[in-house]
Amino acid sequence: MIAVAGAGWAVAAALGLVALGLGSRLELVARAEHELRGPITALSLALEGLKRDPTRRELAEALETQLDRAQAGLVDLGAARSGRRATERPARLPLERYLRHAAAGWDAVARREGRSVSVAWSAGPIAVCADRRRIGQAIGNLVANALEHGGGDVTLHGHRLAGRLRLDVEDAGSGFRDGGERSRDRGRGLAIAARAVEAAGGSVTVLPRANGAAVALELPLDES
Amino acid sequence: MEAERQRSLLIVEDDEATSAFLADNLTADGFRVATAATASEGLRAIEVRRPDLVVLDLVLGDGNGLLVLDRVRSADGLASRLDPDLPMIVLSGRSGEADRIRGFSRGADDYVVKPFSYSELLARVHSLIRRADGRQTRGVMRIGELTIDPQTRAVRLAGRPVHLSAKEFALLQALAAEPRRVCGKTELLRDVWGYISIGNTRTLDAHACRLRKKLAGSPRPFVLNVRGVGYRLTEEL
Repeated sequence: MIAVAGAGWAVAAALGLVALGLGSRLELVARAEHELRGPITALSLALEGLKRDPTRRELAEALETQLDRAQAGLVDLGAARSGRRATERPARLPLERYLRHAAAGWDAVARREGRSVSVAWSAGPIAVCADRRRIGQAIGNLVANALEHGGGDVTLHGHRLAGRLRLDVEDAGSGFRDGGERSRDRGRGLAIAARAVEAAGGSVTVLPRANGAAVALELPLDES
Repeated sequence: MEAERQRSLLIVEDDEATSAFLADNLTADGFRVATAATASEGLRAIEVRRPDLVVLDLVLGDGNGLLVLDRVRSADGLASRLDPDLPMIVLSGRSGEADRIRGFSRGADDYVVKPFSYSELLARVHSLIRRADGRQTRGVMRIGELTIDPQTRAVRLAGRPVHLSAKEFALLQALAAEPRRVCGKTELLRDVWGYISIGNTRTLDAHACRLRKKLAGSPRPFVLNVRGVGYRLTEEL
């Protein structure tokens, strides 16, 4: 009887320690969130000011797509800490302009290695209804994957396909065939991209290719 | 046609970068912007500057922004220089439902989560100021034959329009808030000119003199000098 009671106390004490450990971890996450929230807010306001200068507007909008990705990460961090779903802010987003700004930011990075990131757009003036932070997150992950784990130039082909926008992100690397660490790392980026467009009714698919890698991102069009 | 009055905003935010960049953007969008970094500075600036709207961060160095909300909302609007109806937008890093409800229940007119879209914040500022204007329109002050409309800034004496400069109007509005009370010179310099410490009172005396002359067409004298103390608008209502 005493032994059973002793075991009960031991379990309760262990659970208490686990709870304390979890509590302190959540507090650390909350502090990290706070530390990110301030600078992201300040940077976002600084870019808003930069956009007022016509000569720097393009640069500011390219940087803004990177900040969108950081904001999406911050929202996810808060959701993970609180155990709730992240709040989405869907709005009409003209995609070509956004994509060109995102590509311009990545192109500056790619050129350091003699590579490039470009857009081939044939979808016309379309818009999607989505949280722009999530679109920034999805495009950012797909292009970062292509630059980090792929090879050659990266091209973003945007076209319409049966009432949807399809964006093929292509590179000339070894693709997904090796099955090694590179493929696993690519898989994490793909999963983040797929989850990012889920709320907007979108999807991410790996396309079969004999050479290089191609990933298709599809989103329903906002016809309003 | 009268030009639209420039609106004044107060940002109470302890993060210097956020405060500076937000002030820059709002200034570029046509607002007159002042900033405060602490709750106590914020309350002081609300009293002195009488802004049209306050953007209030909840996490401040010397206390919680909710305390600023409490102080403003519990003011009686008479003895205190705080306007309990002052439009206030709360900025917060906390996005939970309970946090929002707490903000609204303490008197926030709006609640914006950081990081926010500047365009959205700007739209909310315009919307709140528009709503506050509707409230002010109903607040025409009448003191005897004198009527003052804070919204259109129109002043009439016995039905006749009286043309005032911006500072003369601000001085009249300050005196009319409590027409029989003697307002000290320090207080008027602070509220109308924004001086923190007592400056040269000649500016005030000169404006008061001009205002008295412009309101002289009535049997009741307005803008009475209480020697060595300050001014009151009238002796009787």
